[in-house]
Amino acid sequence: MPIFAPNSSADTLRRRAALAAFVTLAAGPPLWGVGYALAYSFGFVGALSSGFTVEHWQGLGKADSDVARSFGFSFAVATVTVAGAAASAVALSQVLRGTLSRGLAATALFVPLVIPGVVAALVGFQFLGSAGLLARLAWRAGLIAEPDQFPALIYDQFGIGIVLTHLAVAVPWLTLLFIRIHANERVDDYVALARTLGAGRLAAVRRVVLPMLLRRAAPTLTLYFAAVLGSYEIPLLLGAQRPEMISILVRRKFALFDLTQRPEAFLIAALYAVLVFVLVLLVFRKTPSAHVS
Amino acid sequence: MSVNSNHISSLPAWRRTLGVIVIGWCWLPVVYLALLSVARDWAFPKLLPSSLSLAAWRLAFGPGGNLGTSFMMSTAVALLVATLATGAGLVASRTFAYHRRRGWWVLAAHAPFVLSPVILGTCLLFLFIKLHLVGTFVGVVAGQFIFCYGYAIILLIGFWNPHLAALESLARTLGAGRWQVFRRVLLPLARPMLAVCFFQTFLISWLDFGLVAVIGAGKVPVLTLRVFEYLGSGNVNLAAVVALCLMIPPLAILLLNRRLATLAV
Amino acid sequence: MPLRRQLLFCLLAVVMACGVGCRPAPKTSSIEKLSWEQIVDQARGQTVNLAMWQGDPSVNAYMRGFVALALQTRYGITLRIVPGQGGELVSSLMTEIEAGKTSSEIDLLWINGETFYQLRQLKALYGPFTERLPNSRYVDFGNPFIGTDFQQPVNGMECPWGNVQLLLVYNQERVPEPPRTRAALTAWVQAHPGRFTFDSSFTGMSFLKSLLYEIAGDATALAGPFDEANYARYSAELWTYLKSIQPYLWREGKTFPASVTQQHQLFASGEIDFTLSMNDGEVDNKVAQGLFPPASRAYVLDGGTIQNSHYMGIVARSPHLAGAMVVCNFLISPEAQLEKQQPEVWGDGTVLALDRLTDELRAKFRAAQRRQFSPSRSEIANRALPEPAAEYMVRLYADFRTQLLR
Repeated sequence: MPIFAPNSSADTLRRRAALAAFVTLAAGPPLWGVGYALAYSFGFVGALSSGFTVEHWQGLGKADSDVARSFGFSFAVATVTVAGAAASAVALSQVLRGTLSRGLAATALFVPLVIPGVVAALVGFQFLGSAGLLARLAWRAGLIAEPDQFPALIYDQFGIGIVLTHLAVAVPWLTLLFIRIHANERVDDYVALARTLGAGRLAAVRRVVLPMLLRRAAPTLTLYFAAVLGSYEIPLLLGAQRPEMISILVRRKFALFDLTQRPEAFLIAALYAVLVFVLVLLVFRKTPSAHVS
Repeated sequence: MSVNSNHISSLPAWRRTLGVIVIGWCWLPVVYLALLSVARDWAFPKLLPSSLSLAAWRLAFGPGGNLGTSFMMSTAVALLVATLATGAGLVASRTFAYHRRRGWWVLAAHAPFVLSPVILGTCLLFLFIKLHLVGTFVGVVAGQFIFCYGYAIILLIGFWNPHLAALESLARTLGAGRWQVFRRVLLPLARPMLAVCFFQTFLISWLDFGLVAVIGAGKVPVLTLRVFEYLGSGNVNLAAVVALCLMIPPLAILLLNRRLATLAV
Repeated sequence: MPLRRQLLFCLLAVVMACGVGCRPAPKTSSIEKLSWEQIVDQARGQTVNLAMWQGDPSVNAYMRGFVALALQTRYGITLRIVPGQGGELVSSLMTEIEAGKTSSEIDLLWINGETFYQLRQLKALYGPFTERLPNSRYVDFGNPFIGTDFQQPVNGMECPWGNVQLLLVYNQERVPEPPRTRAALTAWVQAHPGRFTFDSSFTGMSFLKSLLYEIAGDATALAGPFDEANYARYSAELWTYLKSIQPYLWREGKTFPASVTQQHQLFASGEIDFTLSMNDGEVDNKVAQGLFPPASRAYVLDGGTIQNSHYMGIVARSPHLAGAMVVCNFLISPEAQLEKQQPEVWGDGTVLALDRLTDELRAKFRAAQRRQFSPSRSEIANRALPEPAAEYMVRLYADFRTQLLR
């Protein structure tokens, strides 16, 4: 609703200026960047380019394509991470809702918020490595005798270490999110209503709690999905050489001896950006934005 | 699923244990890194280091480590980004909030920080080189400002509502100028949200790695880059020292005022 | 203040902020005519940006501590170290060229042959400049391992800095008799699966090049410019060999350490029994720091291993040419080279011709060459292989991914 209809030309100018500033400084640059990446991938720009070409895009269809494998792997990792994190966080928020809303416990949930990707990767390496903390505990328990007998959790083909590290940092704040949504949306009242109408405990959870929490959290979970999809530091330090996640593939192809692979790097970046934009568009249009404060 | 029994001692044992595990898990990285930063000779299969030493701390803050410079650099960048983003976000969020197509504009505000910082930096590198911003303090601030601005808008958009608009309108009718309305009516009401926004944009900038690595070209030595550098040379003790310097300040602020971590979305 | 004026101010502020990042054009033409004293004078107060590999803590400590400090106190130059090596450097300079930048972000580069080759193709290096450095009279340009870089004569376009030979490092307690030929290596990995690997970076490729020489059977087989037929023939056998031992490597050969630093960590923690070192002085250095187990030893394959030098290059569009030259001159000074060679500092071999130094200095250099855990340079010199042409390395990097990481 236009609350302040512009009641003077100065007001209109102010509003236009604010919008123009936003477009120039916030929305413009990423769109320009994606445009540049697309142009590079089609050969319009680039020092080694020789005019418009679709050869780089055609390369996507090749069997054994680096790009396809990377996208597939990244999507898989992001899906597993988000699903796992959401499931754990919902469960924790339900089971420990009371304790975790106040005092010492609530404080603890804030700690992982200040952990950046590099530090998470460092801790992940220290814990999950073959000579790391878990391996040493296993050695203590007599389960292994040598570091190389410990199962490969990092530098592995499935990105287990990547997923676990992301989970470890995300579950606390997601738990916080679900606790707040639960309180704000008065989910308890609805559950009470459902129970009075005869629903069992499990049914109440399945049909009242979960849909309410997940629908409200969908925008945040989507943004988190996009973040894991494009994560860089954690896969860089904990991932195998192949398959690689998207951001790593982009940087690798960007900084190669073979400078003719640059258009491919930009292609991947552009494809990733378009995918993420479309995803956010779809989710945000269908669900109401949660405003939890 | 009652909320009544929320004192930890009155919970069944398994809930208590779970609660303790969760608390422990959250604090574990900080505790572990603190131990790692003073550990000596902590190879497989030892569970605890053989001895402790402050060598890593001395090295980090010494002339070869220059951690003080990195700390100041990180602080300066983050403070500037947070100030600019919060200010610009306040103005833009108001314009969006009262706009007809509010939904689309807010969605557009998501554009900058939906992309991974590394990829955003790589795509913008050409533009930043042309603007002579690569490898400069200003360039890093500009780059981080791009996504913090979007984030600030999203965070602050909930502040504006018809009640507030009516208040503004009333104040204007009573003869107050625009600036007076801002200073005496809006600012006091906005202060808590502005503090949250400032802290969160500060944190985003403080913890950023991808963008400052690409745009800064290694010449803006913020703390996250130092952690990465030490990790890259196998120096886990030094990396742990810098990691702690990264985490402790925002953690301290957060512990003093938990409301600062209000989530936007 | 009326709105229009407010907006004008904002616009002005933005424009000025952009101007802050601008830089004055470099004075390149004048430096050719200056004398050395004038160059040192001009360098005073400059900040020189050096891009180098930062994968070794000792190297970082030497550069950040000893070198940076000496440059600051003696020449008033601030040395700023940024990360960058190999393809990344070429890529960032290429991005600058694409964007039409007139002055570069980086002044000085730590480079090896394949980077040298690429940079010369881009015409991104300043030179020839080594003749103008007073300390270059000590440098042993006559030594083919120093005066030639990957089969390209340096021609003054890059300054030699250090000289090293590739060694294989092993844990003597676990490996009483290390394999010295390909056949022996096959036998060993089959008996001890998962305990051997090599990295996918510069050191690992140098290891592959050494194997290539063994396959070719002759140290001169890869001499001269790149030969496609030679490469095709020898590399085919190389990939066949590597694929035959791939299932017995660490992680079944599905992945390789991304850097030699990562590999050192696996070796130090006991996850693997071998690592590679592109520096024959490294083992002593790492054991002294407690980073490698005391039982670490090093050796050279029977077929020989690559010996090469690393160099300093100056970027053509650098705005601090004088500073870069002074830094370079200091790095090849006998004092800096001696410090660098100390095992507890870095252990990097010198590029100076010892017979041109004073007796006292020569004795100090000899003393610094003592090795406890790896063979001395003279012992392995007869199995030193020259670097083949740069394209061999470029092709190995690319084919490694397509052949082994499928």
